[in-house]
Amino acid sequence: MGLRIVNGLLLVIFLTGIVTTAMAEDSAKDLQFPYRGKKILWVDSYNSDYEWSSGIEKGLRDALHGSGVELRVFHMDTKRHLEEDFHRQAGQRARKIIEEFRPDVVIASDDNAQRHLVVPYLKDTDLPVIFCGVNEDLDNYGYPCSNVTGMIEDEMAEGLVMHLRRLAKGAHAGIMGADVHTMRVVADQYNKQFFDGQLRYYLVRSFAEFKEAFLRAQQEVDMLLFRNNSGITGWDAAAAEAFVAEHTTVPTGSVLPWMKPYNLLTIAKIPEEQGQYAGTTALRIFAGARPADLPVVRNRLAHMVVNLKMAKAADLVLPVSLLQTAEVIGKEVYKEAVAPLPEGR
Amino acid sequence: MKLRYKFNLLALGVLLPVGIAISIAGVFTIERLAYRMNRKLMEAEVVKVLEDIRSAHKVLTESGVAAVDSYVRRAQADILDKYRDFRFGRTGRIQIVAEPSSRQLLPQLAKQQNPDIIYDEIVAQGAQGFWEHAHGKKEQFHYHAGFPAWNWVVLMSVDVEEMLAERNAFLNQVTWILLLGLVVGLLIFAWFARTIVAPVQQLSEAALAISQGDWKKNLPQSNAVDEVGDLTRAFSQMSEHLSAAHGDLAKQAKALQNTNTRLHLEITEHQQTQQEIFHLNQELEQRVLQRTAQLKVANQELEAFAYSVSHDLRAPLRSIDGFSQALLDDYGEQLDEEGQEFLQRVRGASQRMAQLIDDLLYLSRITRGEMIRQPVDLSSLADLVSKELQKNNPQRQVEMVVQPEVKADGDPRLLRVVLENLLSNAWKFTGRRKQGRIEFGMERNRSTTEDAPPVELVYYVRDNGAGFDPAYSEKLFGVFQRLHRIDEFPGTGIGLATVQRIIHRHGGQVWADGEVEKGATFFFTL
Repeated sequence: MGLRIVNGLLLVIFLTGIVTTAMAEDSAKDLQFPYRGKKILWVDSYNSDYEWSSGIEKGLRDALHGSGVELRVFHMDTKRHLEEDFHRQAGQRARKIIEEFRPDVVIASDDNAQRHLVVPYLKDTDLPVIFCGVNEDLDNYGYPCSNVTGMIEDEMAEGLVMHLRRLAKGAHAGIMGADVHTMRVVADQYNKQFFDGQLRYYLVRSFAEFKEAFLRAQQEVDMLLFRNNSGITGWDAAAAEAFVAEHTTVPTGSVLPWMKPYNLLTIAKIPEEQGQYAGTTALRIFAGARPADLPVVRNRLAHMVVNLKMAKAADLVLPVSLLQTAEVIGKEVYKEAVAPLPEGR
Repeated sequence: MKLRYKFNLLALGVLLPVGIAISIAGVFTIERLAYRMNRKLMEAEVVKVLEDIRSAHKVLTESGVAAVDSYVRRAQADILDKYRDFRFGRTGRIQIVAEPSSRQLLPQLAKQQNPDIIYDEIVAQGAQGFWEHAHGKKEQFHYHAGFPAWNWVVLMSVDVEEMLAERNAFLNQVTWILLLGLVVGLLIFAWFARTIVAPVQQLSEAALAISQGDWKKNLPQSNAVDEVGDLTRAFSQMSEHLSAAHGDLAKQAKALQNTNTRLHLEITEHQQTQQEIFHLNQELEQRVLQRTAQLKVANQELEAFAYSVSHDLRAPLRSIDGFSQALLDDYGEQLDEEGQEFLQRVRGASQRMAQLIDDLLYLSRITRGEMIRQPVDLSSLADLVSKELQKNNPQRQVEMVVQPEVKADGDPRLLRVVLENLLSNAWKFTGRRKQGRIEFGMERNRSTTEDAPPVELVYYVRDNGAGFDPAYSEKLFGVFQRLHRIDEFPGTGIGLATVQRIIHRHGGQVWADGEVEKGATFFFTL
């Protein structure tokens, strides 16, 4: 009889210990993951292997690290599929995922996501939306509104143009890129904003057109904005790099980080900044902030890269101040050709 | 030298050396600080230039173009541009020299212009360091340091004149301040001399005049509310009091002179009187000597007479006593009882007379004998006498109380006689007491009678015997005087007379105190 009572007591103590331990673990997890159970859906306008999207995702995941938030990603892939119907269908797929996943916050990056998801389905609802990477005027989307806030994507074009003008021997400028809508929009903005309509356009569709246009541009302008190769069909990166290294004679530049092999100067916005902002803002909303209370902001960080290959090709000597603030690539170009310095310089 | 001049010299002696010492110390300190400060600043500026150069070189190195001539030239040009307009103060400037050709890069030289950098001096000073160099009429202070990677030497120069401008300004200011301070100091000392030294000087002059007897000298006056003012007023008051006292003293001296004259006359008269008294004394002494000699002779004759009488009277008395005894022995049976009694009376009278004669002789011997003073233990003597009395009368119950350690200075033989008489008297007069008590001792400052002089040591013999009527106390010490009947207490009445003679010979006093049946106390001094 006594043995049974003792066994019963031991069992009660054992079970109590298990329950207490489980509660303590839950409590520790709550402290470790304060937004456990919250869900975010990131709707990306582009594809997963697009560098810009990768950068946003990296910043987003860094911001959400340790928060316990469940992140789900949907790539609309509108960069590789330029058809309008595809874009609309991608928006509808994203809406369906929202209905199934029932996220607490939606992050929509770049313009297509705004155009085909947020504006038709999410704007002025109870679901908080954070946008980023938006280039177009916010008025076109009716932003900001009660449930939408975000970060405008401001290209670092002003700084790039300033540096190119310092290095260039004349004032004539040109812009090069794929002959696509986005590129035309951007080119128009540059032309209007920096060059008073004097900017020459070199918009091409194929790699062959590119080479021809590039050679022509070297003859016609004093500086060239080779903004983006995306959308140029038949693009051969190695061949392109070798081609521009051989034929560059004027300072060239871009605001897109993946364009640094082809340009003398690259001042790129940082996609991680966009993702970092989106993640941090989502956590603020989880903490109680309303989207309407969070003002729309602009990106501020930039990464400068100078390509010594292009500098040497253009016979340009870059100042120390520029080398000091930039990432220098293409150093190998001087390794073969350098001779010992004469004494008493 | 007057005190005020001493004070002026003191002011100059204090202010000038102190001011000059402070100035010199200040000049040296500022000069040292100027050099130290400029060393730090110049070194900092050169280091700043070198940091820019190093930074540029590092950027070029990291960019892989540190060995690319065009990049290096561009970087160097940027550095030279940056410091082309550099100014350090009015004359300070940065100079950059390229080794080993000693080509001056900064400031840039026009064609055919000679470099203004003394490259030999730079080489002589080593890799870096501070040095001074005369450049024409200008002294310049330099600091240089090199950047070997570019073979550059950065030199910072500043004119010594500018560097020490603060020192010179300080020297000028100190000179003016010193002069101003000197003037102010002298004014303060002048005020000090006027308010303190001048009154002291006036006091000094007044004191000098007073010391020379000039009481009419005007005394200094002061209204100053300070110690000197207090001193001046106190001195004036003191001088006035001294003047008044001096007048009184003169009057008193005059009166004293008159008194002295009168006293001189009186002394003269007194001396004459003394002379007369001296003569009279001499005459008196002569007379006393004559009288004493006459008295001595008379006394010797009287004593010889008394001795002869006493001695001569003893023979018939012995005959009377002897024959009366023979009558009683040989013819006693023939006499009736009355006749025997008569003969017994004759014998008694003759024996008593013989005793009287013995006592008289004894008294006479005591009076005439030589007295030898020496310390005497009276307590021992009293004990001795007491024991003899008790030995002779063992049946008596008498308590003898002798105070120990009673000492005296006198003739031991005579003092024993005194104690024998007084103690035996006490023994005798306590004979009717069942328990007699006799005390011997000494008191201090005891005065029992009005006639007795206050003395320091008084010896006494006290008993509880028959006492006496104090009305007859004067008669106690007379020869053959008795206050009791002989059948009550036997005696010749010569004892106390003997005591008195002995005490008088010692220069002391003896007196008695007592009442009938209440005992008696005999006091004596020596």
